[in-house]
Amino acid sequence: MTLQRATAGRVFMDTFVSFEVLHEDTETDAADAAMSDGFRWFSDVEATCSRFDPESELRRLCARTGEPVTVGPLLFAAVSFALELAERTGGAFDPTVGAAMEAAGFDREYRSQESHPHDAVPGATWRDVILDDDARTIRLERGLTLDLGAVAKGLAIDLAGQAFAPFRGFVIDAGGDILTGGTNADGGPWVIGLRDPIATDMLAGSVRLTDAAICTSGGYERKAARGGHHILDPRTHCAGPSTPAETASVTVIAETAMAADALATAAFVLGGEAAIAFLEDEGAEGRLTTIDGRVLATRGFEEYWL
Amino acid sequence: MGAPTFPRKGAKGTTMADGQRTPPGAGEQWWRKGKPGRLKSSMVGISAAAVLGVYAAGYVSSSDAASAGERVQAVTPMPATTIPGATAAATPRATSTPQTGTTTGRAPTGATAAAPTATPTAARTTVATAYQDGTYSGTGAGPHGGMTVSVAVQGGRITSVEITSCNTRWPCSRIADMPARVVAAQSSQVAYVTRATDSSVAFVRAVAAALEQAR
Repeated sequence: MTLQRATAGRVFMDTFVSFEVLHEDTETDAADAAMSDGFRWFSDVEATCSRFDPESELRRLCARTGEPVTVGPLLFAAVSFALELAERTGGAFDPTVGAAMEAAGFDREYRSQESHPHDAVPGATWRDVILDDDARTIRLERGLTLDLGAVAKGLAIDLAGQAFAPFRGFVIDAGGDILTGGTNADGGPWVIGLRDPIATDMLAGSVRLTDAAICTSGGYERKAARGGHHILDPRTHCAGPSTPAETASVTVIAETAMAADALATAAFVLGGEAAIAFLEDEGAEGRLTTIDGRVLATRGFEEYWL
Repeated sequence: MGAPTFPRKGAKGTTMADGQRTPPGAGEQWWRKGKPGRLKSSMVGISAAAVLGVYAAGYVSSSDAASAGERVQAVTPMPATTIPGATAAATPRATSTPQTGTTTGRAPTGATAAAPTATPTAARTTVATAYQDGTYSGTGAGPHGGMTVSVAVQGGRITSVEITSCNTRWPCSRIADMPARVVAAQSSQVAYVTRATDSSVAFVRAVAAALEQAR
């Protein structure tokens, strides 16, 4: 048997999604089918959770106020996770910042570049979203826009990762949010570089991963038209952390991309030692760089350094 | 610090039907050393259960809906930062038949046949088991300049990496530790960079170019 490396890439959710799957030559058909499944999960998550598509299940939910709306398992899981994180961060992470995002200029659907503004009442918070676990319904107490950006992409990565689990190894890279599974061609861990948040053409270092995800939230990409980065502090609706320790970037390692991505976003807003303590409490490892170049990390992060 | 052991899939513990996880053996917890039993209520544990639940529920879309959605996807080439190849010396887990890296040029088949206009190039290559001995030069370019490296291979292993010329806007001393990293990793396999969608690393490209010749 000969080891094969299959790669494919497509655009979903405004980012380039690439798959690399290592498999034996007897598994070619299965690997092709798994890649198809992986892309289909990205397609499904995007179609369900898009903030820009008026036909998405998320947007249809947001069009109804004051009544419980039955939603599918995918949307319910994404909203449920986002609300749990909002509660645990005291609102530092808040999926209802969508309206503020639109006000800050992040209101373009990436394919058409068309803007889809809709009515949202300022001042809504995550507390205005009521879940019923048994009935799988979501009720919005007031008009608001849910933004699942920090959750949905990670969820899509993890779902695709389930499809690749049978193979010797795989890497899913969705715009720098990465899930690794199994081993590389040498039987060792995958090596993932961390971009230096200040000298952005450089690597700050590399980590070794297997069966784990790594995601980075930073201020150096996706600059909005009005300036500022793409992570808003929901408590102030201003771009940028409001804490004294100004964050340049946070990299989080966790078992799932969904957790790594969302926790990185939350930690970016929390900033400083509070962010590190939060990551440790939530079962993740992380490394935070401040704008003046200081580095803070969880106790276990060093285990991953190459 | 000793190198952690990297368990294969299935060694991390077992996920139960209710989404709770049984903790893995203590020796296998390289990725959360000294923090057993935290998974049940952490956001990480919740996310793992959520993923399994959604996966078990199956696709949202019907097959037709999925292919309709795919039709609008743009196809973009693989970013240059994703460097294929980059394998190191053979290990017991590597393939049994020594073989140099060859592109099989296999056409994509079922991978995305449902959406012909959006079919990605499902490239497939045979993975080489070892580098050929020799010294190889490679050049890589990034947005802020380029560089050339020399990579030496002995006994199938990368023994040294040297930056032979550096034409970047930033001083080359800033990546002084990168050659040692490549030797440690036995490849240029820093192929994936977290949040590196629009930048590239000239050094990694240069090493990858050199190692392409060694396979």
